[in-house]
Amino acid sequence: MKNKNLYKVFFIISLCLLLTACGGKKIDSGGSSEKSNDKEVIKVGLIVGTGGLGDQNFNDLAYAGLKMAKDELGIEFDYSEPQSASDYATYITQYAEDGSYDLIMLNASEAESALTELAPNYPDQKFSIIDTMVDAENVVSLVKDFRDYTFLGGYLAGALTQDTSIENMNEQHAVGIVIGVDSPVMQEGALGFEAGARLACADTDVRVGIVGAFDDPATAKEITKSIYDGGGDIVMTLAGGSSLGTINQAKESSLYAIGCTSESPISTAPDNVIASSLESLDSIVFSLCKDLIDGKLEYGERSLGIYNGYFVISYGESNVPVPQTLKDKINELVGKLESGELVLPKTKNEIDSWIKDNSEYVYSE
Amino acid sequence: MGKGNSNKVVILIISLFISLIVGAVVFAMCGYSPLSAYIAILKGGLGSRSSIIISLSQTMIIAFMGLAYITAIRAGICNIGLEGQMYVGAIAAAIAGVYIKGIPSFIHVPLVLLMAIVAAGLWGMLVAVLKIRFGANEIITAIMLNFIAENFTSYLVSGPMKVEGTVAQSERVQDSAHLVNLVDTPQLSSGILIFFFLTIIIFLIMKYTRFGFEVRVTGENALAAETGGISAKRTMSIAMFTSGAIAGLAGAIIVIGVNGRFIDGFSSGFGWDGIAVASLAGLNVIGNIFSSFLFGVLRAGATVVNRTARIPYDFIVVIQAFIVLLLGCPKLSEDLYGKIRKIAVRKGKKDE
Repeated sequence: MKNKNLYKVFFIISLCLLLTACGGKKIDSGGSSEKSNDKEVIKVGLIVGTGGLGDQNFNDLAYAGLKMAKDELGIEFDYSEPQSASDYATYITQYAEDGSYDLIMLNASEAESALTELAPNYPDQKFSIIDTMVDAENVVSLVKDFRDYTFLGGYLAGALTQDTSIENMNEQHAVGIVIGVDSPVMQEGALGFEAGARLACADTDVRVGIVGAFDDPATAKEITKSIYDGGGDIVMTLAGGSSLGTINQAKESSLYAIGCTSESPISTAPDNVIASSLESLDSIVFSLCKDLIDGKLEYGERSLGIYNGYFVISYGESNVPVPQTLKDKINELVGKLESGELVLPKTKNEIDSWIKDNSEYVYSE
Repeated sequence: MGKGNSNKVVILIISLFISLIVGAVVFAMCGYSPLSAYIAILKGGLGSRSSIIISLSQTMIIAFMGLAYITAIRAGICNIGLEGQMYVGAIAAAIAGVYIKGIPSFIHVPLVLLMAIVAAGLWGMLVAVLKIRFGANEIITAIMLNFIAENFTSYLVSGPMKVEGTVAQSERVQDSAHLVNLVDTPQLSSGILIFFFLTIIIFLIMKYTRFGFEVRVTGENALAAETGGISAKRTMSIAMFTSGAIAGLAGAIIVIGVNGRFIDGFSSGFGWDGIAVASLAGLNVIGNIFSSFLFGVLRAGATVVNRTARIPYDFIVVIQAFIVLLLGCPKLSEDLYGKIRKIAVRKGKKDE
């Protein structure tokens, strides 16, 4: 009996040795992860959204921004991909406890409650979060102004719907926007679109369609069709994964659409998609790193809009002819928004008087 | 008994080693250094006070799920509806935590836990009822009920219960409903005490009470149990209620002890990990503590590996899967153990 136990012990010890021997060999070939202890180097931690990297969207953009900062500003960064919304507390704690990160970026609004809870526990640690507001002294909240997301698209639509020389464009001055869900931010997007369209042409009829989900292209397609059937000829989409439905309907009806987020709507249907409103999260991430290095990082809410280059309109490789005068006009609008001379209306009721006040921006060929 | 157990432990350790070696091969094949990966996992899971606490808070939820699984399987029902029962418990806790106001904490917290227990217990018992009354396969009904629970709770926090803002989540529970933390930074919920308490209760019931005996007999052979005068149906229903209730309790602790609210899709597969740790523990409630701790350390370590060594989280999932897989085929480890022992015996004789 005693002997048997001895063999067990022997066996386990030999297994241990085997394992360490294996490992020992491999460390020579692969031991490359040296960490520089130089405190001068700024180090950023990125905790991405649950969609993970490779989403061709949000998370990839933030990663690209940090990569750019690494190449150009010489920062260092680590990143993590949480599996679910309840993992954020763990990740935030680990990054904060590590103590070597100058800034911990949360690329997910789902992290809001975890950060609200934990940020006060680490008063010397800087955090940033996107798309939501966390009211703590050490948090930078990046909040998109959704009116800016759609404003230029709206102006473009309002201007072009008057132009009957474009194929299939009807006499009616009607355009539409399809939003993902009926939420305050999405309604702001619709507001920005309407303001833009009616600024270009005051009598434009703007229709708003609500899909009810960000992953339902079939419903988005139906809604788009009903807008086209009702005389609309340009539909902007602000509906995440549902957007593809609008793009496809534009193709089928040989009418026009305006995309969002990236240039991929344009490349999907270059004959129908006029332009796309891009988000440049990468450059915001980059500028945060720059502020961090310069010691100019400001806490609190930082609004993201056209005025600071967050939303950009891109015509990409579209085959739809946009007159140069219109492009110039849009650039002028961007300039006015940057300088603060033009301020978008806050509510739907303000639009009428706002248009009258800004009548110099009316578009006519 | 003692000998049988020590053999089991040896086989368990062999399985662990084999899976670590297989894991090392996978790491190496993908161009990562296995040693530095394992060191990072250990450091991340056990390296400091805070990492141990993080491991423990991961362990807690998985251990609840393991305990829930064991309770049901002992009575002969494979409860793979843990995930759904956890969501139901969590939403019940959120409802009780958010909308009941103005009562002191020492009433509010037990009330919230009770709501979760009842809601999730009934949800779990539904599986048993469908099986007993209509002969429905418990695997299929449980999976379907998982979908219903996940999506319905998701609807509730995206619609009627949604807090203002962009995130699909409920409002914060009232301060009086908060479960106190055992440790504040990093956070460890006192839910872990509830877990230990529950483990002891379940252990005692299973071992020393008549009901525990009935459960065991039903689990071994329901027909024989019926013949012997035990109501297998009743036993199964109660076991499933208990199993669901434990899973729901875990959900409630996440809501009032960890996140402070119901966040849409909060579970990162806790229910499935629960099944794995229960199997790893040989369906033993005490062993469950250790296997859950192993998984908790792996989970906490994985997040650190992900960050510092740039190794995707999925690798840890692969290693976890290997451990469970190898335990699923105990013959393999036994054979290996036998062979190596033979060689050792022969060598030993020669040396003499």
